[in-house]
Amino acid sequence: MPNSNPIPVNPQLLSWARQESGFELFRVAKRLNVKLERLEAWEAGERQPTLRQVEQLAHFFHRPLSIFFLPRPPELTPLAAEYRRLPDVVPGHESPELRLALRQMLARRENALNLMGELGEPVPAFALNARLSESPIEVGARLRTAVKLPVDEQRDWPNEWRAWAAWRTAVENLGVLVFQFSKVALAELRGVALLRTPLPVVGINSKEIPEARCFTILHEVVHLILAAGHEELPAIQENRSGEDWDNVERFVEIAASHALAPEQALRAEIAALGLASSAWDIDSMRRLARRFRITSLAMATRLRESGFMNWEQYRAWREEWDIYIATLPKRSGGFATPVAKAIGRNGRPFAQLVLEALSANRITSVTAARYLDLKFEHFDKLRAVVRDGVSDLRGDD
Amino acid sequence: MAFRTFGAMTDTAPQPLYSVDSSAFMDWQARYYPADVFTSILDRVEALIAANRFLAPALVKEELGVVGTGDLIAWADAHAAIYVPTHELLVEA
Repeated sequence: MPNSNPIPVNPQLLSWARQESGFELFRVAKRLNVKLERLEAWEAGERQPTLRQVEQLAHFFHRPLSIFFLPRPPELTPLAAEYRRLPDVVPGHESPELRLALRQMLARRENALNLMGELGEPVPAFALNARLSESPIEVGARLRTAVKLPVDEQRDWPNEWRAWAAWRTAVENLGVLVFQFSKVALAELRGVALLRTPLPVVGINSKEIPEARCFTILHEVVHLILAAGHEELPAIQENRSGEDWDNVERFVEIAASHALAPEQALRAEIAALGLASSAWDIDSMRRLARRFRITSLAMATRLRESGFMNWEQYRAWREEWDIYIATLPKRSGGFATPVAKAIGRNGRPFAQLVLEALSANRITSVTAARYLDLKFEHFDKLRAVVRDGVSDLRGDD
Repeated sequence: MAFRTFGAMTDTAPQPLYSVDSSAFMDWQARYYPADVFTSILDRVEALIAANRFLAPALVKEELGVVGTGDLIAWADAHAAIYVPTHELLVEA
């Protein structure tokens, strides 16, 4: 039976694997260079694909080949039962790229828990929670205290990459796994929280510039805090009206922006920069934002929250800002090494767990390389980076 | 895992076949016994290959391409005959 002969796969599995990966028929047909009718015939059981074609499907869907030979489709929890309600994502209609990113992050979390069990390491507890009846400013202040990042340190960060690394580490220290994904369009998603306990997950879209990621990560942590306070449910169960949900998002935005730029520090910085009576043009906003290593847009929102700008001023500034942004050249992503990419994607805690499990012979080198999606030849470098805590800070995937 | 049969049976006890997975390759060449240092292991494996007694599923080669080191991938590419095609395994499954 050469690769070009039809192979008896379960047609139900073909249909299941495609739909579970979020692909429309035409995209799969195009990828495999077969007619749409041919694909439909496979899924209807009227014709059978060749082994080569099934292998191509397995690659395209990021599934093992063996899955197509199961007697029936596996019963999986819907992805929307895992993530928080997202403004631009309809449960069950996630893009294939987002579905893959979610599956990979969930698998990584499972692997982290398994490795902790194997190594006898305690699973860190995420101890923060809040109610919507509280003041978002106080929740933001509580989060800021919990992350243990002094404002002086924040002001000394030499660049936005250092800021992103510091915020990420601080959030990881709260008992949260922070992962990054790179193939999802920003229009669909900037960040996501997976509402699992223990070891909840924050996923960040690495298409974002680093100073924007600093806001996104705190935004997602506030969603985790509300979920821990039983104020949020996974997307599939979240039944609030659009207006009610907007209020939740508003709460989260205020809390996150106050954690990022605490009130007292903000006022002190405005005074130090001589901006107390500023008209808030592009330049003054950028100067202030740079002091906190956040985006100018996040700073404008923050100033509006604290009454330094009214809505009218904010809208005028925003208009000016949008025009200014449109004139800027696209920022270069730069070059990241395979090790930096692996750490960026998986996070340092997970990379460390994998290395420890490998050293203790709890997993094979193949499993370790698969877990981190990193060729084994880079592991010595990875060990050095994890041990010394120094790396190329970019870490974009 | 069953593999194809090689040659006619003789009066002597059959020599064992070695079916090798990706981890064995990695532990051998990438992790513990690099081929440029432990040359005698390499020689013995070459002898097993020459006797058709050292085999691996084709998916192993694919996996080595994803996780392996440059030297191991080059070795795996240079020994394409050891990989049993997936369709043969499916026939026997």
